[in-house]
Amino acid sequence: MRSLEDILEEYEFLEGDERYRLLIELGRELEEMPQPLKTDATLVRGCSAQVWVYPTEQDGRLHFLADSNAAITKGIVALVISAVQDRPASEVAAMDVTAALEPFELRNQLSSNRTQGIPNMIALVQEHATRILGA
Amino acid sequence: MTMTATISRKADFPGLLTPDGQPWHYLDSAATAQKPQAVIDAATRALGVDYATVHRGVYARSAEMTLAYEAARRRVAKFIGGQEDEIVFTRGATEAINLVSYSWGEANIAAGDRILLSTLEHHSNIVPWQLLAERKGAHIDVCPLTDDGRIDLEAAREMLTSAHKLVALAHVSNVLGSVLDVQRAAELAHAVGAKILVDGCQAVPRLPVDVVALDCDFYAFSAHKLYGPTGVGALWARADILAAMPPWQGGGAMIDKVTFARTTYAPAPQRFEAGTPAIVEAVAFGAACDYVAEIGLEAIHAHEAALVAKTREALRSMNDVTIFGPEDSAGIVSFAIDGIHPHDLGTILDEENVAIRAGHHCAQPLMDHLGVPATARASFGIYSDEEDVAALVRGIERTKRIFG
Repeated sequence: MRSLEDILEEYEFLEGDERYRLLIELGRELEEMPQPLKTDATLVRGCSAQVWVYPTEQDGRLHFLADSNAAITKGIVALVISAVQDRPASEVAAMDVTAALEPFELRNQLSSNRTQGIPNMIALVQEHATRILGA
Repeated sequence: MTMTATISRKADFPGLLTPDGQPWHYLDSAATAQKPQAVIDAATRALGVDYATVHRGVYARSAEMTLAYEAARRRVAKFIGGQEDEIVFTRGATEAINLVSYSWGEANIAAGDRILLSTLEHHSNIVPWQLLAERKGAHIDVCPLTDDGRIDLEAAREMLTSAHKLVALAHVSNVLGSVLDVQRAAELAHAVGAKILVDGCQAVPRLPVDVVALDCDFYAFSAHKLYGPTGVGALWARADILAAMPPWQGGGAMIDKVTFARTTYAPAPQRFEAGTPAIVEAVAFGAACDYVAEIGLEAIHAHEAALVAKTREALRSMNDVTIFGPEDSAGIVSFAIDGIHPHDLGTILDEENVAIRAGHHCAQPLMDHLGVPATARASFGIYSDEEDVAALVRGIERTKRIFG
């Protein structure tokens, strides 16, 4: 999986429609989340675009499977995953994911007053990391 | 003949610009309408120089505010062809429906009784009845839709039995825009001895409504979809039905006399308005009714019909678009584009200063029926024009290019 820095470098080079195309492509490249894992239990609260997250853990590192039924949203899901994938729980818990995504200028998609899944997904990922640490 | 949109009221609505002064193509009036300056001014006056409580002050300002509040009740009543003592101010249509389900429902629904709803109802016209049915051991039946998305009244006729005590249906679907023949629905309900409640939220801003001619028993609607403020709505109920309904929420203003031995209650509609009401909102609600009545609902309906026709025509020319709902939808067009989630469409349209609704529209049973998780919905109002439709079409074309 590409690092968030690599993606940002390409993203900053693009404008308008091309940025959306890149996000859609990132979504398509996301590790597949098996259909049976997309249940009410893994569904992130949100209104129109559905987002699912399933956290796993290997050797003290967090690994997430995630998906969305909306393509642009799925691209942003891929950005979040890039920021946190396969990192130790301590690092994920301490990370400011929203700040890390700020350079992508997706303010409308990330602001928590929107009834969409991304801010809730970020919160869920970090709560999971915190829970692992506390366990 | 091509219909043209005829009302030009954009200038009355300060909310229709972006922060940097660009036109904002607001196509979400079915969620909530923008407010005309006349309503903003009425609210500002009521909250400012005219402000006082109602129904209890001995001073002149309070007496005047009481007159203004009761005048608003008269204006709202007149707007839908009812009498002033048949209007209960509520927090909105949702509370109006809950009021009926708790007050009338407690007194009139028993175990084994049935309530008829339809597939296209908004959650606010489903959940209160489910709660009532659970409390009472009653049953809910769901009237299906015709292929073009109308409540199938022929099916309703076959389903209705003497066990049915209530029929609760939307006058205009908030997703499909389909218009119910309320008179016919009322006739069917009354034929089996049931009452009929009509959810008029989407109808009052876009169709002439006369509750007497429609022959319904309850009519619920909110102010904020009718160019008025949030936080207030109305329940209209036929005088004899309202008079027989027991109190729901207790408190000040709804009583006649209180002692610890026995409390007696005020007559309707005050009996159902416990506590200090939404004074400012009610006054502004009255102003909204006046504003809309002055333009005229026939004119508004023709205006929105022209915009709906134009939008449907543009969408139909794109071969990968599915349009939901009948040809003569009132002010609302729901659609889906193959391979593009409505949420993604809404995101890109937002960049183009076009605001649509993408989602389940609080009508999940209808989404299940349509076989989609969500639809995109464009809805129109007094201020909408052909520029808004053109901006929507441009935005859809851009989205299709991105997803191409």
